[in-house]
Amino acid sequence: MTDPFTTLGLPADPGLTTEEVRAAWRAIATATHPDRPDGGDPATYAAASAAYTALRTPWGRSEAYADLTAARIPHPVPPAPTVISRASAPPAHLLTAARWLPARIHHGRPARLALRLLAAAILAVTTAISGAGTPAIAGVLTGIATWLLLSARGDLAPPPGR
Amino acid sequence: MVWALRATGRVIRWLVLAAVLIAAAPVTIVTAIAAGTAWLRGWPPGRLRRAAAAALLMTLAWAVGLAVQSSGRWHRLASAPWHTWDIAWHDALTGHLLAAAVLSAPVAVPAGLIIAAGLWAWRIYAIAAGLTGRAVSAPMIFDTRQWRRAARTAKARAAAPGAVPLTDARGRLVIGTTIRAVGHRWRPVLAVPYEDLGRHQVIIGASGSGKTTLMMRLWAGWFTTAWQRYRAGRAARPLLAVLDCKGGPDARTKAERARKLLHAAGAARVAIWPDEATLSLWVLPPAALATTLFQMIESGEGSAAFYADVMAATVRLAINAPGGPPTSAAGFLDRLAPGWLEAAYAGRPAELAAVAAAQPHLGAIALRYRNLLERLGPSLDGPGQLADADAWYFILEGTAEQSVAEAQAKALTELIAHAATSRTSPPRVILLALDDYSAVSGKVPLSNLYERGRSLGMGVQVSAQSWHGLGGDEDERYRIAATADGGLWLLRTPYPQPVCELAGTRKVIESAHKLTGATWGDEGTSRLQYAWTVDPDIARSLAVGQAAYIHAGGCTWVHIARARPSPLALTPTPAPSPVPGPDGPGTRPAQPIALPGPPPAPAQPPSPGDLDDAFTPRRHP
Amino acid sequence: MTISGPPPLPARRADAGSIRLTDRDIAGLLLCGEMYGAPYDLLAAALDVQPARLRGIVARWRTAGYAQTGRLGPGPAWCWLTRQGMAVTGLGYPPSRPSLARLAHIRAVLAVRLSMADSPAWHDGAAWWRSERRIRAAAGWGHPGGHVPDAEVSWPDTSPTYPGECWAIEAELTAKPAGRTVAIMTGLLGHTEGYKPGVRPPGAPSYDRVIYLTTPAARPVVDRARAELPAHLATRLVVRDLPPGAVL
Repeated sequence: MTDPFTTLGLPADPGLTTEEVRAAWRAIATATHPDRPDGGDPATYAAASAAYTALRTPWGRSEAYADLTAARIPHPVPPAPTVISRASAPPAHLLTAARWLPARIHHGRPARLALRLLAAAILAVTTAISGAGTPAIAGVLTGIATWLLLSARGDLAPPPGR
Repeated sequence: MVWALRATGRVIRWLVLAAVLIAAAPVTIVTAIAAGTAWLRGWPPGRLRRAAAAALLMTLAWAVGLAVQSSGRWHRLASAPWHTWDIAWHDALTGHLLAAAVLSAPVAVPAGLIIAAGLWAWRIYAIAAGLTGRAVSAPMIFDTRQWRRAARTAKARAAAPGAVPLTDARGRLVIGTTIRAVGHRWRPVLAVPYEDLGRHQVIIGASGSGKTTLMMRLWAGWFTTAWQRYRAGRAARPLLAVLDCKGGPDARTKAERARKLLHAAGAARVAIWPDEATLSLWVLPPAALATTLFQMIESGEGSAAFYADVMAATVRLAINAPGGPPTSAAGFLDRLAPGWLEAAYAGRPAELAAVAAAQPHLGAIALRYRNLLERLGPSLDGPGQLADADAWYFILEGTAEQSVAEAQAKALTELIAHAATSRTSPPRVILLALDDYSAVSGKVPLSNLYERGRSLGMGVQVSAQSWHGLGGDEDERYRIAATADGGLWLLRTPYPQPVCELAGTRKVIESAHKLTGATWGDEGTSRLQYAWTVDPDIARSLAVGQAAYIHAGGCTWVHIARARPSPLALTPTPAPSPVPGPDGPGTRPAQPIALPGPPPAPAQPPSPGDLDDAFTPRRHP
Repeated sequence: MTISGPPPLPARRADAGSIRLTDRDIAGLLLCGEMYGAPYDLLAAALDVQPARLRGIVARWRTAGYAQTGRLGPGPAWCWLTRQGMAVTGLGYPPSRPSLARLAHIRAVLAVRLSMADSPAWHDGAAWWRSERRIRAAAGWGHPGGHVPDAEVSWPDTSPTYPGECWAIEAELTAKPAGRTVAIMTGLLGHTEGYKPGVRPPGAPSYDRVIYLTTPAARPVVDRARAELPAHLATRLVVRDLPPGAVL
């Protein structure tokens, strides 16, 4: 059985407004009402009506979202004992962080981040062609990378759960 | 002659200094830029020290590069700094400024930063101690100007979305960007340990000072960390209970804001009472229920104490009647009807005697409770219990209907205390936040609630618009503020003096100079003096969104970052994949993904017969 | 010569022109009065007659002025009592046509009644049905706004099945908000009014069981509401599907 959000074609978001829910229901109701000349789609209409009844109030949306998250969020389990192995895979949180990076950039300040990256690139190129010798260039490039890492954090949206 | 010698010595010192500064030009340039930036932006010396520490990475990379280049010839490595300096000067003099800058940067940058930090720290100390400055008022002007600049910098930093997440990697609650730290270690953002919210906190700020933003941030941050601990299996499930004691349309707006934030923080259900959800007062244990019902009604003292005793006894008889306590307001009122108590206690002479004694007043008692329960409405008549939601936002109309709001506050705090101690339901980690509690504190003084919360292991957070709003008298106010071991938050308020006194003093150097004409002479004295840790003048002139966090003898002035729901869901939904249309992939817009439905309901225990024999037709012959 | 004419007509009966009510007529009229009205198909099943035969029966009621009929909505026609019909049956309820908004619900509750009346337990236990209309007329329900069940079913103390029990019957056709459903369930399960000394001990609940009969659309909400009840209340709540024919 699909949840009421999916039935109305809405994202599972308790912050939906009543107008959004009503508009979604109306669109489906208009297309599937049994009184239509082509007979409509009574089953879909009934399902949409039931979904609208569930989602038409903020509390109803909260309840429906709670049901959904209760299904998705696993029950807490005690932390497993750490196993140290020689050939261990990259830490899971790094992979997760990498997966979230595009979304964090999009919801942060992408323009500022782009300017910062541009500035870092210009400085890096300038350093590389300065002819100052490898150790100094490596040092300055490290400094530029450190600056970029520390200052760009502010331009990213916080990771989920924070 | 002596004067000439002194003057010559001074000139030689200056020349040597100039020579060193020129010789170490890269370091001098970095120092000047760093110190100037710190002065302009109101940075503390600590920020320069942190920058210097971060810059050491480039020095390390340079040293590693040199080591590799030297191929183990250590004498080359040891002479590398001198060698590098020499080459850099050579490049500079021959017009290769870029190469010179890059060559000297790995050493010049961290060195310049650390020297700038030291110089800047000395400058601040000297100004504050009156050791330097062109005018007598130099310390005040310097302090005011630096405060303004630091506040501007903090505000700009707070606007960066990633600079102030709700919590940091260690689960501490990030409140905002630091303007100034007095007696606390300076850090770019103020992060409050999660455990501090498990103690008591007090928030004082006038209307429009940013108090609501601060509270929302604390709630969302606390819930985020508590929820993550719960999911990791390290703690019980959190429960946030907010009592908004003023009520009105503002309360509804705040409730919706809080709901959005808490959903984003991981809360599954956020209930707004009484608009959307109800609770049942009648789940309280009989003794607590009887006490709560009694305390919800105004009762007198002196000659009216007799009547109060009769009412208390009647309520106890009604609650403890055979057959169990009432489960609704109607059920309770029925028990106050004539004849019910007599019939219920038939065969129990002691109780019947009590009923007979209370009989003349029964009608009046019933009328008073009918009146109270009608005014309370169905919001405390169930169904619903605190465990139904992860966060409750209670709206009490303390301004419009104070007596009703006081009764509701009494009932709600009793229900929350019951939830904290109940052995029949799973344990919860509870934070109780009371906003403008003074509006309804008639029936439950805040100090009592504090002590109760402490004994129940529940964090209590109290907010008031002013010092006077904390309690009914000065004793109570001091008791509440002085026992706020989780910290005290002070926002703009017209009378911050008592809070400043509570925060205590710190030692400062005070210098006095001899005036010669319009300038300072070369004689003077310095002494140890005490100054407020929390400057009352700053507290009075705080801008919106600025606050002082007073804790453990120190104070951090902070610009509170607005709490926004994270745009990234806690449990991400998979991105919809394009559904290939009849003409090939990507020709039809993506359909909503069917999310997994809730797990099938566990098999219900077989009810006492599914009553098939009462609902299945007979087989007709 | 003798001329023979047609045979003489039988003498007119003394009660000619008046309607004689049989037991079946009385049962039918009482059913229509108690249940606000009845659709033809269920009324025919209740009286155990064919639908075509029912039309004749109802026509007699109509002629006598005891009932009115009409096609109120989709499906079969309906029959309900007039003021004269209420008087002759002694029911005394205000006569009114069943409201269009309640037709589906009235039909569903009547279907439940007929289904229960046809069950072995009913037959053996001689239970009786107290309709919502009768309950409201008795006005024994606490403070205003309390929920009245769709019916009560009482089993005599001598019944071999469910002796002495009293059930509340609720028919759910549409999915209400879960909170409201929980409130109704709790109200019914916790109801203690109607206390008569010696009948039930004070504080004992009025209903031993609360039976919810639902459509598939309403079932999830009812199940969820039941799951939210405390254990000691949930054991007294039974959820079943509506019988066939309850919904058009």
